[in-house]
Parts: sequence; C-alpha cells; structure tokens
Amino acid sequence: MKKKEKWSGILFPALTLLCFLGFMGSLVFPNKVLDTYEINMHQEEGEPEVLLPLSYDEPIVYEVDTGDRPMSGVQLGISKRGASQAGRILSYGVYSSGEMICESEYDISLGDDLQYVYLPFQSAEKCKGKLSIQLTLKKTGADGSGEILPGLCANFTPVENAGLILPEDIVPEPLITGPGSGAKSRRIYHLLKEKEVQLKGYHIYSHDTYPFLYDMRILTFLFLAVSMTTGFGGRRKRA
Amino acid sequence: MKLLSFKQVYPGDRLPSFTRILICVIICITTSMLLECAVFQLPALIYRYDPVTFRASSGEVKVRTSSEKVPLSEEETNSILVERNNRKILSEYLGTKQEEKEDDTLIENNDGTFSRLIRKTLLTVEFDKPYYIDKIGLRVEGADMTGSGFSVYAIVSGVQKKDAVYTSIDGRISEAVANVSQKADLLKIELMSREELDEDNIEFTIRNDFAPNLCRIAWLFVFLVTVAALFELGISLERSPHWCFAILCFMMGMLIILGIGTNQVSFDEHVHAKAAYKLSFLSTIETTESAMQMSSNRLPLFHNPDERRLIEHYEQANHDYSWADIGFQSILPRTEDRVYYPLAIGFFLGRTLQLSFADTVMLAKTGNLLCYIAICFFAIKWAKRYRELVIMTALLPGNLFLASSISYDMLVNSCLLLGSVLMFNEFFEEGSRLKPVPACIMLLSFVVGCLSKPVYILMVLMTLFYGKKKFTSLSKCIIFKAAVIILAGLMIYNIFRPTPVSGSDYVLVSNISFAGDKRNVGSSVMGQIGYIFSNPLAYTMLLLGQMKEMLLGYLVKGKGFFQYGYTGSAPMIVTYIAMAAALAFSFFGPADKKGDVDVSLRHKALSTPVRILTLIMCFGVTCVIWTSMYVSFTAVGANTIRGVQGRYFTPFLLPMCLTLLNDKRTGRLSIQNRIRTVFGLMSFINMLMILIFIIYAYDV
Repeated sequence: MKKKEKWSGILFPALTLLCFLGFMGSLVFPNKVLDTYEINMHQEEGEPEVLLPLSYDEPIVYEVDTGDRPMSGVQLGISKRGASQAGRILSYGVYSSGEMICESEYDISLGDDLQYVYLPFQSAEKCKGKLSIQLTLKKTGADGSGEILPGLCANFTPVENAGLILPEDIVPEPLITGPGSGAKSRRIYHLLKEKEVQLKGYHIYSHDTYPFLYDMRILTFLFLAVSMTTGFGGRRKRA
Repeated sequence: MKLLSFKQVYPGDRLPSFTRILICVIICITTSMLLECAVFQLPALIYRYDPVTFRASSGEVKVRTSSEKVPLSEEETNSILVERNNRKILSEYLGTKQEEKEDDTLIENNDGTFSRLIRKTLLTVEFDKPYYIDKIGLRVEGADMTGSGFSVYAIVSGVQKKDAVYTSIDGRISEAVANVSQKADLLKIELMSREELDEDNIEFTIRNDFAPNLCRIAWLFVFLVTVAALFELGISLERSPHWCFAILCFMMGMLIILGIGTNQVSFDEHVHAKAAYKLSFLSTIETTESAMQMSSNRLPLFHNPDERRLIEHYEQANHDYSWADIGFQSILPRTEDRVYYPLAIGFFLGRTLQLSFADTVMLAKTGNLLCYIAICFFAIKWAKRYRELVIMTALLPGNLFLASSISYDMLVNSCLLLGSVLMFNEFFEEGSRLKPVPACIMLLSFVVGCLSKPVYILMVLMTLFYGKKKFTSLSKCIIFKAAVIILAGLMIYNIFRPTPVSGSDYVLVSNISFAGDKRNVGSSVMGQIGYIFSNPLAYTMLLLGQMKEMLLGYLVKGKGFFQYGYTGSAPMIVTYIAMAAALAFSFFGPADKKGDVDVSLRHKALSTPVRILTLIMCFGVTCVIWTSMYVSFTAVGANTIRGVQGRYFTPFLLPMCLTLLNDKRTGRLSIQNRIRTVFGLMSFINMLMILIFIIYAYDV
C-alpha cells in the first residue's frame, strides 16, 4: 500500500474516533449558563414604586409558577433605606407543596443602598413548578441599625404566574420619600384597594448549551464517510 | 495535492519574461493616466477658473419658496408599515405601551397610502458669462436636512440642453455635491426639504477643478492589462488558467471594493456587516456610532469623489472607540456566524492597524475576496475537462460582486462550486476509486458552503449514486452512503432545532413559534407549514407557477440575471451572449484536429442515469429553496412567494451545463482559445458593469 494511502488509512479513522469522542463529550458534559428574565421592572405612568419593609416575625411570601423549568434564583430589589443594616441578614427559603427545598441567606449590609441582588437557590434542579419563596429578616449579633428596616422594591403592575402574600402588619411605603410623600402614601392606599402589590425583579433560570455538539456530530459522519474511501480495514483489490 | 510551480510541471514552455511584463505594466499605467488627463479632464484644462461660492441671502441669488404634497413610493410605504408592525411586536413582548413616532411631515391619506409634505426653495443666479460647471456643492447649516435633495438646471442662452441633475442631501452631512458637467449662464437650483430653510444658511459653490479620478485610472489600467494579458499569455492560459483567474478576479474585485467604498449596495449588507463586525471581537463588543449605522443600513451614500471625502470624514469622526457602545457575547460563535470569519478577520485587522473606518470596511471586503479567489482557484485547477465552465461560473458578475461585498454568499457560491467540481469529477471517472483527500475536501466544501444555507446540502446526496467500483468493498460503499445521508439529515435538522451554543442563543432557538423573517409583515414558520399541509395542491400550483414566472422573466421578459447588488443589472443581450457561450462550451469540446489534446482535458459525457439524476437534483433543490422562502419570508397563505432571487440558483448552473458535455462533438477553438474566449467574455462583461454601475455611479 502506498505511503499516502497508508497514512490516510490511519488519519481519517483516527479523526472519526476523535470527533465521535468530542460528540459524546459535548452531549454528556454540557455547558450550564444562566438566563435572566425581566419579570416586573416597569410600572404604568403615574403609578408609584413602593417599598415593602421586611420583618423578623412574619415572612413576605413570593409565589411563582415556573412550569417545568427549574429556577436557579431570583433577583430582587433590596433597599437599605439609608441605614447600614449591619447585623441584618435576609433569609429566604424555597418551598414546594409545603415542603422546604432549600434555604439560603444574604447579608443586607453588603452592596449599595438600593440594589437588585441575585439570590441563588442551592438545590436549583428541584425548584420547579409552584414555589413559595419566604423572605424574612434575621439578626446576627448586635443590631445597630435602629428601627429602620430594609425593604423590598415593589409596584402595582400585574404579573403572570407570580403573586405576593404580605403579612397584615406590613404596609407598603413610597420608595422615594421627600416632598410629596404624603400624596404618594394616599395614592398607595387607594391602589391597595384596587390592585395587588407585586415584587419588582428578575427570575433566573439555567439551561444547557452544547458549544461543540453541532460541529462534532457533523465532522464524525464526515470523517466516517471519508474513512470508507481509505484502504483501512479492507482487503486490497488485486490489480 | 502539492502545488507545483509552472516551470516544474512544464519545463519546456516559456512565460513572458519579467522585463516584458514590467514594460507592459508601465505602458498600461502611463496610458491610463494620459487618457484620464487628456480626455476626461479636458474641460478642466480648457475652462479654468477658481471655485465660486454664492450665499442665498446675497443679492446675486434670487430665492422663491413653496410647499407640495408628494406621495411615497411602495417601498417607502412598506418600510413604514414593517417598522410599525415590529414596534407593535416588541411592545407586546416587553409588555409596554406601543409608542407612535411623531413625524409632522408624514401624512396618512384616507385610502391608506402615505404622502410627505415637502418645502421647495428655488435659487436662481445669472452669470455675466457662461461657465463650464463640472460640480456644484450645496451646503445648508443649522437645519435638519433628512430626506432632502436638490435639482440643478443649467441654462445657456435661455435653453436647457440636458435634463436636470438631482442629488440627495444626507441630513447628517447637510452638504452634497452634484455632477453637472454642463455650460450655463443661468443656474437654477431647486432645493427640497422637510422644513423651512433660512436663506442665510444656504450656500453653494460652482467648480471645475483639474482632479484626475483615481478609480477611473484604476479601471483603465485593469482594462488595458487584461487586454494585453489575453494577447500575451498564450500557453499560460491553457496550462495555468487558475492563476490567470486569481489575478484577474483580484483586480476586478479590488475595483469593485475601491469603487463602492462604504456605500451599502449589496443584498442585506447591513445584516452581514453586523454579524461580521461582532465576530471580529471576542467577548466584549465595542460598537462605534459608524459601526452602528453600518449595522442598521444607515451609512450615508456618496455619488462622487467629493461627497465620498465628506462622508468618509463624517464616518471617521464617528468611529471613536472612546464613546463606543459596549456589549457582550459568548466567545463561541453560532454555527451560522462562522461563515463571517473572512470578513471578521478584515475588521479585526483594520481595528488593530488603526485604519480609518472606510479602510477597515474595504479591508473586510478584501478578506472576503481573497477567500473566494482561494477556493475558486482550486475549483478551476481540479476541473480539468470543463475548466471554461468553472471559470465562467466563478467570474459571473453576481458571484464576483458578492465576493467583493460584505456577504456570506461568497462562501456559499465558492464552496458549492468546489464541491460540485469534485463530486462530478468522480462521475466522469466512474471506473476509478474515490480517493480520501478529494472526498474529504468535497464533503468539507459542501458542509462549509451550507453552514448558512443548509438546504443546499441536498446536492451532496448525488454521491449516493456512486457505483460500487468507487469503493474497495460493498460494506464501505454502504457505510459511506449512510454517513452522507446522516450528515445531510443533521444539517437539515439543525434548521428546525438548532443546537444552543451560548446563553443568548436559548430564547432565540427554543421557540419556533417566534420564527419568521421579521423583514416581512405576517411571516410565521409554523403558520406557513400548516398552510402548505392543509392545501398541498394549491401550494404545488403556486410553486410551479412562480418558478415558471421567474424563468420566463430571466429568459424572455427582460429581467437581468447579471446583477451588481442594488446598483443595477446588465441588459438581456449580455445574458443571452453568456448563455450562448456556456451552451457552446458545454456542447462542443475543444478542437482536436491533430489528435494531440491530452486525454484528461478532452470532453467526456456523463452517463444517462447521472444526467437524469443531476436534472432531478437541480429541480428538487430548487423546489426546496422556493418552499423555504415561502415558509420563512412570506406572509401566511399569500399567493406569491417572496424573497426568491435568481442568484440563489447559481450553484446549479455548472451541474446543468455538465449534463450537456459529450465526447462526440468538437468545436473549432483550441483549448487555449476557448479559455481566452471565456476570460475575454467575462472580463468584458464585468469591466463594463463596473464602469457603468460603480465608477460612473459613485466615483465620477
């Protein structure tokens, strides 16, 4: 067999095998990426943004229906309301059908005064379907921030597949205080009678991507076809 | 396949000497410059004067104003409707209220058509003696000149000898230059704008400068060099037509690139420019204002060298990375985007070398051209028996233009040409075994060529009809064909269920109900597929009717097949001549009176089953292309199929011509003269189109 044909007989089957391994590897080890979906970040003109003060006693319950997709986390607006919030932690637990799936914490003293914070779920693959996310405050050590409790950003925009259960003693306040706060508070009071309060934020999902899958599977069959034109594995035809 | 030098292959043959070539080139350069100066710049030499500037508010210029309602064209109306529909879809997706853009000058009539209110300002100036006016530059300051333009009427002794010259004004430049090239002792300029203009802010300049045109000189040079080469290069044409093609294609391609500059005149150029520009970055994309305008098809258009200077200056001023928009992308590009690598390399190099925006765009196009030349080089080299047909296909005006533009069609056309050559070579040599390297290159060519247009992969299914003799065993033959079927199937499958490559892909690829080309109102993939399955007979009649309509359009109804994008198309007579040449080169083999033509270069006929299969393949894939445009680009249930262009069927020209090859009839031309004829014909067609549609449209 000529040298060129001999090398072709080794090279192309080797490339086929390599691409096949790459094909299988891409399929078995996908790349996980996060997707951010804006759920509620806008309100109608004239409607106020509000603040829902967090509580140590009663949780704010945020209900979502993710359908079949597992949720990786939520990104909510947290306001420190001008205080340092040292020693305060936001505890959030994810429940499904009354059972807790996972629980995590976030130190509120970190970050800016008003920031949309990513709250990841530890067992994200189990967090699908109808979920209840309970958000409460916890203390760590001495609480030096006085009576100013942090709050969650919200508005009155209706959101599909999401709802909020507020404890009775939590009253939404205007997000931005100052001149005109009284009028805003009265507007909020009226809106509470007509509409429901919804948290502002994003839902975070993850999904798999397969960066090299398309190339590897195409090249596998391409080199397989080319391998069939080599002398590899076959009896040589007598001239 | 090692590339040997000419002298190694044909040691006895003689090339023109280097001295001869150098003398020829010098003569061509000198002749070009002399022709430009002595012929085209003659009026500037005879009627010399310094530029004269007039201000509308000066006593020399009489000013009169009026208003008029002008109906919009169908294209402008469709553009407004598409924009409204897209804003509606976007607002529904975001859950926001749709905002209507305010345009005071746009009037919606009761019958649903649109008109625009136009203000006219007539400027009249009388000279003491007739001036030869080569160009008029008009400038308006402090006003929004969007959608404006002006017409120039040159009058001598009360008689207007030629039609008015119209030029549009780009609102971002607020200045334009019109080519008048007439004598006048009375000049009227009718300025049309959307808002009323202040006379103090309008000024115009008449000029007749001695300004040798570099693009025209380049054209003359290429023309003369081509004519000289056709006469001088005897044996080289026959032995190395691939090298001759490479040089000629490069020269003509560069003429197109230099002549067009940053004008966006190719099909969907802004879409391709956006993808290629983004690909030239890794993960962080820096989009300058000029790049943003390029991506949204809004770069200003120039019509002469003076406007070109103004516009390139404007583009460079807006090509500042210090205030560029920052975006992010995955470093892993989607499969369909990889076809933009030749362009992306040009953008990357231009940025790295800190070239101007205009030079960067031209460098990107040059990358495209070089890639096209490289692939077609091998297609011609390996075609052997039918090189004339491959040269003709490679030098088709549409293909050459797309190779010199920002478009991925270059890769589609060139790779499918190479793949077809290698595929049909095997059909011509049915008794010989299929070798691994040609098989690998053939399949790779089809795969790469079909990355952006997967429907063409169906062409590779012709290999299923390779005989058993091509393989060393029956099992290998079966496995080969099974692998090819799966390969084609996977590429087709990817159209409907593309594999997510990066994070941003997911929303795009996971929801086919959003699919449909948003350049057309009412398109929906799922809706259209449902319509076809519900009305198969009606759709079949529609499909065949539309195919017949397009064929008749190109053959008898005057629709030009040879197009240079949106710049224009060659007249029918050119199409007929080229068709006649292609048919003649297919039907008649090279003259062989002495019987000394090499066996490998003589025409050979395809077997009858292969000819039939080729025609079936061409027809079948054509139907699939039409259907794919009906599904993705046409409103659901429409009774026409939109978006299909003749250039989509260029890959089938070679296979169709190959079905006519036979070993019985020979012509009167030797191989050398056949190749000389095809180079001469295609050069003539392309050079004429470059002169009319590019040089005289944008560079004079």
